[in-house]
Amino acid sequence: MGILDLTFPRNEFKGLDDYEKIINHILKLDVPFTILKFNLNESGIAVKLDVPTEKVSQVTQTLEKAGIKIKRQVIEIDEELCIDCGQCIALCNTGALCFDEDSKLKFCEDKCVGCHLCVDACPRQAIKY
Amino acid sequence: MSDVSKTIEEINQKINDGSVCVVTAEEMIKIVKEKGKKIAANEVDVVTTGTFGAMCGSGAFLNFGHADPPIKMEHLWLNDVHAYHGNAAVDAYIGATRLSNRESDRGEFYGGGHVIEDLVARRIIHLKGTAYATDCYPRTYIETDFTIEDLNQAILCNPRNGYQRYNSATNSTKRTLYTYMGKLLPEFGNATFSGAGELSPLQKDPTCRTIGIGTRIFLGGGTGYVMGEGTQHNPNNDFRTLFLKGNMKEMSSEFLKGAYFTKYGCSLYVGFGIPIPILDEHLAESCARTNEQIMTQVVDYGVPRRTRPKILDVSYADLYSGEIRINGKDVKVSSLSSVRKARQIAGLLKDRIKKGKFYLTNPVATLPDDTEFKPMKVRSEVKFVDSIIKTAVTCNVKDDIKYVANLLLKKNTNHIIVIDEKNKLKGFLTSFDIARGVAKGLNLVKDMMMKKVFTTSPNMTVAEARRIMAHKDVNSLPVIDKNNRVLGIITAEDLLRMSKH
Repeated sequence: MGILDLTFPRNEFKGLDDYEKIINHILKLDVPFTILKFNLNESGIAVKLDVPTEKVSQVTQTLEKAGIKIKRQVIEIDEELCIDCGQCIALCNTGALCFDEDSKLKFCEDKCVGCHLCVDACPRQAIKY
Repeated sequence: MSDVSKTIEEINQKINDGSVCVVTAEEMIKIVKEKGKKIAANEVDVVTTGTFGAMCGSGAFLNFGHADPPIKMEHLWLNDVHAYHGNAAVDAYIGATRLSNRESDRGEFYGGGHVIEDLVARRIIHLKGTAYATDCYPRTYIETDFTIEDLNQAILCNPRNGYQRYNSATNSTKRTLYTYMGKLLPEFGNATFSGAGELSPLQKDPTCRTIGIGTRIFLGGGTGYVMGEGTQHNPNNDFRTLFLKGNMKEMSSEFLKGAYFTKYGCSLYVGFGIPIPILDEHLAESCARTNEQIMTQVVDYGVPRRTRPKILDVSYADLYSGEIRINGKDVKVSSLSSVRKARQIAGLLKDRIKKGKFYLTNPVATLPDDTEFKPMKVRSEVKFVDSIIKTAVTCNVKDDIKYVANLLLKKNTNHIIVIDEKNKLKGFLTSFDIARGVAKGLNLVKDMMMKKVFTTSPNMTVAEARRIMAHKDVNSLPVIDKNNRVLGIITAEDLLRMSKH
């Protein structure tokens, strides 16, 4: 499962109906999801969703296009533990994990959507969040 | 220029006087490309190789010395990982894949591979041993801490390392698989592979002309030796393996790393490299084999059988490109082995030879070329669904109640599988559903059928199918292929008939 922490900014929405917009955006993708948390606070409508891990990047991209802010739980690579095998690379849908020219693992934090698909694939348990 | 012909002794003489020409396997590819194999064979004396991957067939013999009073340990644990003792009193073998005790506070991610890494990293290891007392070994219990320096011997001893080839793995099923080939996402979501391609030792001397019993190698940062062929050595199918050993006290945790593969277990990443002497043009040629020329196959780990279906042939160049094409879909592929480390090993070995710290060896004997890799001999074969499958009675979603009621009587069955024009599974009907349909005044199959259908596949074991039937409380299971097409049916009556009791 992948946990998405979404906020629909206060200045963007006019009424509570806009909450449906978030849900409608996801419904269009035909992805099963669970609403874990829903509340209204000074920053806007905050929603916590659980979507299938492999769908996180798809959902994230769609919602970001719709102006919804997403708090990413980006990963961290423990370089002491990493052995540069690269098993995580093929599990990353956004290109946040790749090799540099010396075949050393490179992590681009700004590309990470926090799907965590790579975490349990690391044989060295070097990926944390 | 006459044909090149060198001996190991001549090469060692050059190492001794500092005139030896050593290059890594990657450098050799460029040299042969530029100058041709003849000149390359003349100029280059040694090509160094390297690989760094998870090698489950690894372990270590340790000798602890004697306590006072002495003990013949019957069971012993190193950092809560059970080690094997079945030989002389204070020797033990720690295997890389052994997991720590369930109740250990080291957690499930720790195993024999990690103990070996901790040993070579000079970390403190906790030992616990139990025994039955004898007149010569009266002690029954021992608990102590030690480091590798306290041991008499710590010998890395790996019965099966350095596979010549590895398959690449992918997954056709609808669920994520966790395997020794790593995490495989559903519906060909990714693929994984092992080996170091053009840097791999056994790819550079594929018939093991120069690699045999006694060959000196780079192992785990220190020096090691080939003890002979590894288990499952299968030269006829180009699946050679090596049995390696080396003194762990000289090794470094830089090149021996414990690993834990989620829901599979522990292993040990081992770094080793073999120097290939360029005795003639043939060896120059094989040492120049590129990733484009080194082939392997992608197989489907979604089929949990001994022989997994092949999906396609690929080269290591395809695999290193990061993407392969399966059934018209681009599939991301990544390695389980580290190319960076493999390159580092080939470089270190090259330096050691150039500096006169590492000499080449003539094998004492060559590896056997007639062994085969046979499957396990089992007394009773496990039965699979495809052995009891029978033709299913089917109907179409558009059929009406009268037709299916007649079908039940005519075919003398209780189960009808509902399909579409393409033979794809749409639903399931039993006589009960039809009776209920009559009671409710329904007329069409599509309104009466059960849409949620539990299914099986030809490669599922009969035991697993029986478990599904019992668990889901159904009397039959449609057998479908991976495209949801109906192949047949299995029923509880067939299973009953099968069992001897």
